[in-house]
Amino acid sequence: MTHILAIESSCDETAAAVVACGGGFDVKSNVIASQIDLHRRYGGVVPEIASRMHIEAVTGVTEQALKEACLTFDGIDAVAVTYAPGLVGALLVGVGYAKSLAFALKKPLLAVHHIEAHIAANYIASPELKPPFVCLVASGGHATVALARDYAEYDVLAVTRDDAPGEAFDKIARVLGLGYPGGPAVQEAAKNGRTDAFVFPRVYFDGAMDFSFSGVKTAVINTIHNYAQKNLPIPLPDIAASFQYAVCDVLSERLVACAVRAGVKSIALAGGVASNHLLRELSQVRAKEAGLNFYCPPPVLCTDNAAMTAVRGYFEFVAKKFAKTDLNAVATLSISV
Amino acid sequence: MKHLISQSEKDTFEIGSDIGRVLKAGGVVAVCGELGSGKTVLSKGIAAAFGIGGVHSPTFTLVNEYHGEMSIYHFDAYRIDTQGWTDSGFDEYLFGDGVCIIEWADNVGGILPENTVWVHISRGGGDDFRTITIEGEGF
Repeated sequence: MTHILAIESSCDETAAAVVACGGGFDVKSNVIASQIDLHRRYGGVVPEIASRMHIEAVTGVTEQALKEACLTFDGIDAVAVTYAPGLVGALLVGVGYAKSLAFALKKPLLAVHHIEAHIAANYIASPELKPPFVCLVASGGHATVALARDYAEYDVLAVTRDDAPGEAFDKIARVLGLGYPGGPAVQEAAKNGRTDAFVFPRVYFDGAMDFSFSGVKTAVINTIHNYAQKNLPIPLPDIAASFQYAVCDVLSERLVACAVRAGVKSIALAGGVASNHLLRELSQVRAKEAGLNFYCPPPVLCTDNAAMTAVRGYFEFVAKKFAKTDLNAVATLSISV
Repeated sequence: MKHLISQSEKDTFEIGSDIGRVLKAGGVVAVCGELGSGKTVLSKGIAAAFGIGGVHSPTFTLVNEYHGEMSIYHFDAYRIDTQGWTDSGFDEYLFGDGVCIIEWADNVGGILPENTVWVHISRGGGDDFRTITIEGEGF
């Protein structure tokens, strides 16, 4: 067994995990220190606060991960770290820490792309899943449909041309006064609403599978304005339900369409928005209709975590692709080829 | 000062392109307007004037960089104030070699340079109707 210690700090979670890899993935520990409470009053992640909190948390979180795995640094075979994409100041904390650790311990350093790590979370939850498959990674900062050709080879099939889905949820929650983070808040508000109360627009592009969520966002805001102007009470549950349906409808439809076009047998979800119940349900139903297998990690592996980073890092370890000490954080980086 | 009317996303995009055509290296555009008013669409138009496509929301990363015939630095200042702006080292972009587009610029208005072009987008008179005012160097 290969024990990978992984560090993840691309946004507002400081995470460390130890995963025993080889013949499956055994998550020995998966520690996440969330900063959500700190960012809530700003309605989103504040980069400077995020970076400072990562610095304060990273050592403790790593020690906790080792302790829970009943290991010391000597028992680690390699150090994996998320180096892109994300908030550059936040990423730098994890990258700097992991580099020093690898150097001091004389262990290989494994550089991991955050989106690929999200996809790899599926290997933990579903050991039977093997490439090729098509995965939707949907979160606060990302919307990518990727073809996993192999464990370390990906093609991007679709991206968002404006807002990420989680960002759309955050912005609509802000307008509806539901608080941050927007995903769970909108989902909760939608429980007692009708999904067909309003038909919000779905955007399609000629010849591309890309997403656009700014149109649906504007349409929701227009609806709210129209009620406000007429001094009518805003039907919050109906708006939340119809908005959530519009977003999940497009995401699941496009995921399945990409899979059919790519000719694969399986689809998967990943990223924070993959915790959304409706997205899971619609994707599962559509997968079944199209004769595809459907996979989705549990919520703890959908949110940012380091167990997924360890798993993606393991494939680099196997390929002996070790990062050097000049590894740097990169804010914007497409998925590797 | 210029007052313009936009009746569609396309209009807003083209107003952005018109602004882009008069910008030079070191130019700064401050874009203000509520959520869903078209700030990112206008920004896409500005970038298009320099042949740059693929512009998307900077909300998550706070700044997106695009490099073409001109470098475009696209900011979302919703979650920061002047202190956060300075702490993040964003000042360096303002006096650099490219064009800065700053959404929610009202939050950092006090520290933007004198040559800043201010764009205010407001709603009214129908779902797609926007009044766009532009003031600053060249307008």
